[in-house]
Amino acid sequence: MKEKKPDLPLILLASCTAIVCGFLLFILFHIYSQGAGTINSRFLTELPRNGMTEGGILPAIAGTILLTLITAWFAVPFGIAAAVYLNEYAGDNPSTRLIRAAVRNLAGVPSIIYGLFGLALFVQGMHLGTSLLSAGLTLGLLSLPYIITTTEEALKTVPNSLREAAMGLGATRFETIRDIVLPAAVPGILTGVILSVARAAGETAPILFTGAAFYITGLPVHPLQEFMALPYHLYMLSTQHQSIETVRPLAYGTAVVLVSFVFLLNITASVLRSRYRSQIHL
Amino acid sequence: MSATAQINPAVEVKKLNLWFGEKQVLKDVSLLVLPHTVTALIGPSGCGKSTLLRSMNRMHDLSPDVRMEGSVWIDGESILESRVQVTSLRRKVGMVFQKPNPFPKSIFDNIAYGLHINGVRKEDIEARVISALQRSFLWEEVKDKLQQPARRLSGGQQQRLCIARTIAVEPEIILMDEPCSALDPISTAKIEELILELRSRYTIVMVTHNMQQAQRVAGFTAFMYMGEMIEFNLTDNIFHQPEKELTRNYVAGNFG
Repeated sequence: MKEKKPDLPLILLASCTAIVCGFLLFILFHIYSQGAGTINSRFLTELPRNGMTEGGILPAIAGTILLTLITAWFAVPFGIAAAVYLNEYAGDNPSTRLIRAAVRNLAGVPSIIYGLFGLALFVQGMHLGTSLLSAGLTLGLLSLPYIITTTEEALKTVPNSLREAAMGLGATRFETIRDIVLPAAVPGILTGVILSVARAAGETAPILFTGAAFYITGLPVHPLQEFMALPYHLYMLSTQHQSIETVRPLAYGTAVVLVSFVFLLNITASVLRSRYRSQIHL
Repeated sequence: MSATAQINPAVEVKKLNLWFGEKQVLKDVSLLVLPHTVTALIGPSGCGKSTLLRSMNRMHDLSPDVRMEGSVWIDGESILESRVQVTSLRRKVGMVFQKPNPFPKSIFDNIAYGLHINGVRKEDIEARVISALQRSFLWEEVKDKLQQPARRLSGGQQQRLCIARTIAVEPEIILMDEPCSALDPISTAKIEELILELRSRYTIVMVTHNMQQAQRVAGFTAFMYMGEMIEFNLTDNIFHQPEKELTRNYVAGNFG
């Protein structure tokens, strides 16, 4: 029998995949091994002390959670509504194609530009000041194009035969969308929304000028307050602090918390999706 | 007045022309559907039979760049006019599609949905769901699993569920677009039996590719070719004494 030749393309493709995964694992391993020692209940629940060389990162955790909520609260309804309009109501004509192209380009705008825009519009134009609200709205703008695009994709996966079935029974277009199309698209929409918001939660540049603060000793209690956030805190601990060497473990600890937070959101997305899928009988 | 009583047609299509963009799909098509009959639309693929069917409940509203001339009359109303309320028209003219398309809901909710949006009172819904399932010969098969997902039913059961969903809202006319083309012979036989049963209460217009099926269930048959209505008559006449050469060739299976 002839000896089997090694499958070269397969080996090539598999090793590329392995390299990509290898980098991911290496980054995670590095962060977790350096930061794990810092993580304990006090790190997560205490305020920073002594010029942030001691104590915990509770204000940053709270800030990031609140910021994420504001982002979602703003971007989710607008994004879903825009996607429903584009996919279900607007016909395929030059102006909707232009809108789609604009949305796609918006997704490619560097995040620092969003930061400047948020500074001009929310902080100064609307007099919201550097605050949780300004930063949340800026991050909302940043995630809008992703939410619109993924929601539209999810709506496209709902077969037209279902729309026809509902309308054939005398449902209006709105009833069809509300009762049949959106429920069938929820798993896809949910995934898109959570991934977009999770991405926004890890952004530093857009909140840099719109509300993130260097060091605050208390917890954020008002949407017009400045706040600490995990990504900015991390940036600051690793580049701006007066004794970088001393706070390095704290920086790694912050990184672990931030990465875990984003992971948690992503895991939530897949759990919700599979739970909903079995519930609506797809 | 003639000796035979004057019967008002259930559907009357008058000189209907329809274009998709530049392409003319229906050419001067006329058709008269009598109440409580089954009328089959036959003809080769692309002849316009589904297009004609879908003009009777304004399903073309959903597709852009459709243009129509001529008229379709249902209950003395010219339904193609823009002031006609499409939702109430579609409640009166139900539709069963080629592929079973149950909603991603439970068996019960699939039928209850149409009742719900048409304003049936909550306390009446259950009885009407059950009655629709019984009249679709599906009740015995599903009565113990009404809360299960409809998509777990077999293809034939799903199609009977779609028929049940349609008759639950008590339309006058049911349009069927090749309702058996995705089904096996046994499921097909069940649906045909059901169609014959429904005839006493509803007017049925169905598109079919299957000429045996037209002969088994339809009292009238219309043969269409290249967007034109070639011949419309009693089914027996179409299949045994067609007037046109084209019809004779088609029903003899010389082309398709």
